[in-house]
Amino acid sequence: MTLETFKRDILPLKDKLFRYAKSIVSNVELAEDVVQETMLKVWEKRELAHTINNIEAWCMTVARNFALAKYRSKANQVNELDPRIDPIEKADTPAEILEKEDILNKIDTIVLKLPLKQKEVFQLRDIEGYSYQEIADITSYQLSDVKVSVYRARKTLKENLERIYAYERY
Amino acid sequence: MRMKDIKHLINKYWQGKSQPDDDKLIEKHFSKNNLTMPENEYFAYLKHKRQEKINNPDFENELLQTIANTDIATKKISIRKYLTIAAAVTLLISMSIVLLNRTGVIDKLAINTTEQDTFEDPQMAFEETKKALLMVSENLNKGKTYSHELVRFTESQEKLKN
Repeated sequence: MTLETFKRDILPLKDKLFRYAKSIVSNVELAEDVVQETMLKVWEKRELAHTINNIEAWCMTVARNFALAKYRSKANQVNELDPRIDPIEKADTPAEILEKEDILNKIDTIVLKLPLKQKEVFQLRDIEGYSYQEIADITSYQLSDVKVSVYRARKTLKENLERIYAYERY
Repeated sequence: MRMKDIKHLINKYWQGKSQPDDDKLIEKHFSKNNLTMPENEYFAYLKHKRQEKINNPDFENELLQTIANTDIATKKISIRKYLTIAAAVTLLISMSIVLLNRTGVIDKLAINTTEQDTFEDPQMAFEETKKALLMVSENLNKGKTYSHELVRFTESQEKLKN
């Protein structure tokens, strides 16, 4: 892999890697560190690139390993809400803006409290759009585990959403 | 898309049985229609999360600079490593020579080489020369020519002796 190939194929993955890392470590700075470490590792192992079928999946797996290492480090097990939610659209009134922020924050909190496996799988499937098989390849979870985790994550979200929605209506 | 079909897809979605293409259809439906359903906010949330990016605008430049610095450092380490190995080999050879010299091994080797020389013994030199010429004669099949030379050589030697 040359530097030009790296810039063309690997650098554009940085935001996807960031989102995935953040779903594991729940911290913006740590997630950025993970992305940097991932890209340096990929560069270091660039001679192996031609042997890999799916470079993107490989990068995601490397990022996962770094993120899990940070997650397991006790000092970093901090649940942090994302302060950068930006749901504002031009047509929204101030009341609508506050309401949207509130609901998005609430959904974020629900996702944050999911077990790690469900959080990972939810991120990869519902936000990044990977298939179940691709998720199994990235995480090394069994395919059946992936499907069950997706189901459980969505079930939790649905139940909580209905509760929030019912509350908001009244 | 009909509401009935959308509800069917939504049910499949919550049960974890939908395909990625189904998910995209549902999201598209909700983004076009402002429906008062919990799924509306949920799919808006997913769309928002997909837009999250690294905040640092210099991230790529800093990464590329780190890569450049790492490559330079790796090259320096390689050169240093080879020089260290070369120095170690040179030291080993030098020590071997000193050690062998002290134990007299080198001298013994020199003596053996000298003993093979026959120039101090003319008779032996003469015999060896005869042998060599005969060997050449046999191998090249020019016996006659060489044997004449050999006879002349022998006669000259005999004259010198007398």
